[in-house]
Amino acid sequence: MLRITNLVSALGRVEILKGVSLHVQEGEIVTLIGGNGAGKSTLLNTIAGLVPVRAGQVLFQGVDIARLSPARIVRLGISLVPEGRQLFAPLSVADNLILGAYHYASRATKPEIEARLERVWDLFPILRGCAQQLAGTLSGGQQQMVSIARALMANPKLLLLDEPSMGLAPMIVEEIFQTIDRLRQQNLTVLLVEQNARLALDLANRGYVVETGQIVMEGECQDLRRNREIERAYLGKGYREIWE
Amino acid sequence: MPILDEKHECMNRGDLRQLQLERLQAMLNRVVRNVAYYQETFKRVNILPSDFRSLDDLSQLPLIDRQTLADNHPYGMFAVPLREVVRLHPSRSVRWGEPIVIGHTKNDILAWTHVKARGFAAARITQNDMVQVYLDYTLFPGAVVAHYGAEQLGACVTPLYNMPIADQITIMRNYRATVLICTPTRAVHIVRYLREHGIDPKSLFLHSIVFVGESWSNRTRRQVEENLFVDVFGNYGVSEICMPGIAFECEAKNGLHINEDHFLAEIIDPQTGHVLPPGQRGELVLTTLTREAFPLIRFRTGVSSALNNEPCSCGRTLARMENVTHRTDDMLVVEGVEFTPSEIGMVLSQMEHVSSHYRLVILREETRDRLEVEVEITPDIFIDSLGPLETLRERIEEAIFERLRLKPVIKLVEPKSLQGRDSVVDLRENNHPL
Repeated sequence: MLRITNLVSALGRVEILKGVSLHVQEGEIVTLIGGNGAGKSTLLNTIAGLVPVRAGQVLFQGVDIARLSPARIVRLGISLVPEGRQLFAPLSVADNLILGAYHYASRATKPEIEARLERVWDLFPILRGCAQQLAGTLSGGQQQMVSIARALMANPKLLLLDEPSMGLAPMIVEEIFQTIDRLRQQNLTVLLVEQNARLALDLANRGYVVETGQIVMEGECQDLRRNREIERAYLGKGYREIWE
Repeated sequence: MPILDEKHECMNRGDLRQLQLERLQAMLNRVVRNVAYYQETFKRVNILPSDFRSLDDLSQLPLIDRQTLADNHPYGMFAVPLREVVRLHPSRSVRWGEPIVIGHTKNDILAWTHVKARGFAAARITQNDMVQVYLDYTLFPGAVVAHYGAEQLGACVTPLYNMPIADQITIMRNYRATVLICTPTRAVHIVRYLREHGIDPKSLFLHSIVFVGESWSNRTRRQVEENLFVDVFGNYGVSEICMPGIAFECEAKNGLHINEDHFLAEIIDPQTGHVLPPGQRGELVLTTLTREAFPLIRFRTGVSSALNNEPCSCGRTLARMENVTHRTDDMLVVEGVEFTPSEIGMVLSQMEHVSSHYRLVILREETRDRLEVEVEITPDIFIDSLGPLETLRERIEEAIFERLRLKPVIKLVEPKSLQGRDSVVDLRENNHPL
């Protein structure tokens, strides 16, 4: 579904991604794990068209989207759930969600948007109760749900999720991850960036380990979980000493 | 015929190349961070891992061989700390007998087991089978993994190490083994043994034999298939990477499918080192894509083969390598022991009363192969009495055994009688072992 080869992108003069290749197949959850500043979020933002591509190819269902505008990319079926939620705080939850379908909205599509809204309410029943509440007044967990729901309003084929667990209580995180799992059952494809490597590796099918803008490992999640280097670096077990 | 891992074995070639590229790039990024040898190599040829934008760029890196492994002994080519290594396979370089050691992490062993299981599934091994492993576990590091691979498929495995052939056959009949994993040589021994002892091959229950550890000719395969009423499936491996496990035959028996999601294969011209296009015969060069502990980049296997990227009638898209029938180097394998003639030359050069001329004759006997070393003596030894000659013969025999762990038969011959003759004569029926 998504095939990236030798992607290079930069923020200003600093090259962040140094030739990244990865792929995501339909119906898969693929996770990117790595330390702070490794380039995970930049990768998602580059796919979404928010960060310009310096070199390389991003093929989405056979179409090269590397130099398309973010709006075109959303229309093709890729939605980003940005890091830190990025809601419109002074707007109500319902308005936030409807804005997620902004590119699609017209008088003619109103019933369809209503139907999508209904689906999203079903996915996050807790949000239905606070539809008219201002988004900025919600708890962190609810805000994250709104953020995911907003992305789903665009009816994406591929969902890019950036740090959905950030700053949330463990119970809420679990709930959000269960939702992602449900989305997979509805055949949504997900590319997930996550600091909480353990959770991400439990949920996803495959994973990539990113270090300083390069991929250093690819594999099925069960294999990555067994890798001692990953345990040390991201799962918080043990220290690295060469002559052990 | 069942395909164990359809996702990878029948992957569309474009997706496979993408996966190979991703794994190659990740591996290069890893080795540059962790492996001293590759840090130097990349500096020497002045390239960065990010310069590898396609699989073809791999040809910019130099080739390595067993000698490279020996030069970087013990841990110069390890990519992980020793604590993560769960298995070590010590061996020695073939040329000068220097030590080599290869390590595997837990994931390496699991991946190896998995690729082995793919080959076994293609050989029709299922959970309903009784698999007899007739391999020398000390000579074949892969014997244990072959054993795991069959177990992974749910088969019942009987590992029989070095039991005499008569016992092997008794066990085969008593417990109704349906699959036998052995070297081609041993399969031929079984055929011969049954014939000589008047045992009806139909009293066995075998349906398949998996050949590992040595190459085989079509004649050997036919001989075994016709006499034992079985299907023979070949496997290929390299002891420095995994043996067996690199490639396996499917029911089409038209080349061996390389596990390309784990190993990248190239064919090169052994003289110039240039990469040859698919279909052309040359030396097989392998790069590991998923190995954690001991990644190898462009390792020369020393065997001659050719690649075929066309999809196979079995449904697999994994490229096939031609059956290996000869080597591009001078390595010899006798009774599982690998060595080069020069190694014997080196042993002889340290002895007195021996000239620099020698000849190796390899014969196939009843149940085993025999190495004969004909050695020219120098005129300065007193040949009128047998005593000193006998002592010399014994000393040479001991020295070679010490070096190779293989007992040769030494024949002392007159001065100048070997000049101008071939230094190696392999009289075995299938005289090009892997």
